[in-house]
Amino acid sequence: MIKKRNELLRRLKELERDRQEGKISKNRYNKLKRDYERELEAIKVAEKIKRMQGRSTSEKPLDHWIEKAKEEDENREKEELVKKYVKEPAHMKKTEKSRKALKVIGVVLLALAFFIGSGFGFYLLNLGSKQTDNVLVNESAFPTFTINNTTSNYTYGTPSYYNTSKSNEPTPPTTPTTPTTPTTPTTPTNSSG
Amino acid sequence: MKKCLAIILIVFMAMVSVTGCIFQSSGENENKRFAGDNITFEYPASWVIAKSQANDTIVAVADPKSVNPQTGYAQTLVVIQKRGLESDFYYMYNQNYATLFNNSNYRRVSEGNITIGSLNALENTYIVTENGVKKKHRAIWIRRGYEVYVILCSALDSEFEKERANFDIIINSFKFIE
Repeated sequence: MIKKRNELLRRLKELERDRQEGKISKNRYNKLKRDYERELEAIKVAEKIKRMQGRSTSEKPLDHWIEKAKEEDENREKEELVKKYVKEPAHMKKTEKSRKALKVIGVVLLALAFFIGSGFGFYLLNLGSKQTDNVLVNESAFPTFTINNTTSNYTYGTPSYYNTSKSNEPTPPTTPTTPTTPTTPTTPTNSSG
Repeated sequence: MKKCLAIILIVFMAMVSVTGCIFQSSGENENKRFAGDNITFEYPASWVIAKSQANDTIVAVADPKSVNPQTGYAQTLVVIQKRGLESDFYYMYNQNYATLFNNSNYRRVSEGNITIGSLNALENTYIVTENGVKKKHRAIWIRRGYEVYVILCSALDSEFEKERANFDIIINSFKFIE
């Protein structure tokens, strides 16, 4: 219904313009104007009835819609003008890209720094323990040393004492071998018979 | 921006490294503990477990800073050795040092009885001169059943008194594990 009313209003406007420009005769103008106004009146009556029945209708006046359409047109024109004449400078685009790249590089560098720093810290921590395998000692509470004598060589110290005690153990007797059985003599043969 | 990132990177690395160093240095103030082969003891955190070439060694700990670059052996060390008891504890002790001091390189400094915790022990301190190098040894003999344990503390004669506190850490914390 609103659409039809707007259409009628638009037609009425056009009719007014045509009349002013002399495109249409006075009789035809009067006739069309009467028709449109009648239809508009019918719509207004219908809207009034609906309002009385409690149905919602558009309360906004025609001027509101015209203003709104004008605003939309202006906005569209402004946007077209901005697109046509206002261009973003190239260096601005570049800085935007470089900012993103720098952010990525920053994150990567921080991650690298974390791992390198942690690795270096652990290296320092483990520096002392790495020496464990390299340290040798040769001191003993039971040292053994050999002194050369003119007659013989002696080894002093308790290890020799240990070793000699084992070597002095008596050797077990050897088991006797079983005697071989004597061979039975062969009986002589009588050749005289 | 790049400069800023580089500075952040350097600061971050320095922070992590310094944290590691602080952690390491704080650990140096505490003692390490060895436990194994029925014995346990504490030793200085800056010392390490060493490889002993002596017979009957249970464990050897040494100060890695004392390694002689010419010989490759540590000069400040403690070796713990174990041997089976030969007839009598005192006889074994006397026999060992009678043989030792028969050698002109060995010179007795002192000997006596000491107590380590609840353990009675014999102590013998002597100096060994080899190739012009004087080393001081402190041997502590402990009998346990049919076994004899000897804690031998050794250092250069000139360094021995400085290392006495480190030797005492080991001797005083020495215990048998049941």
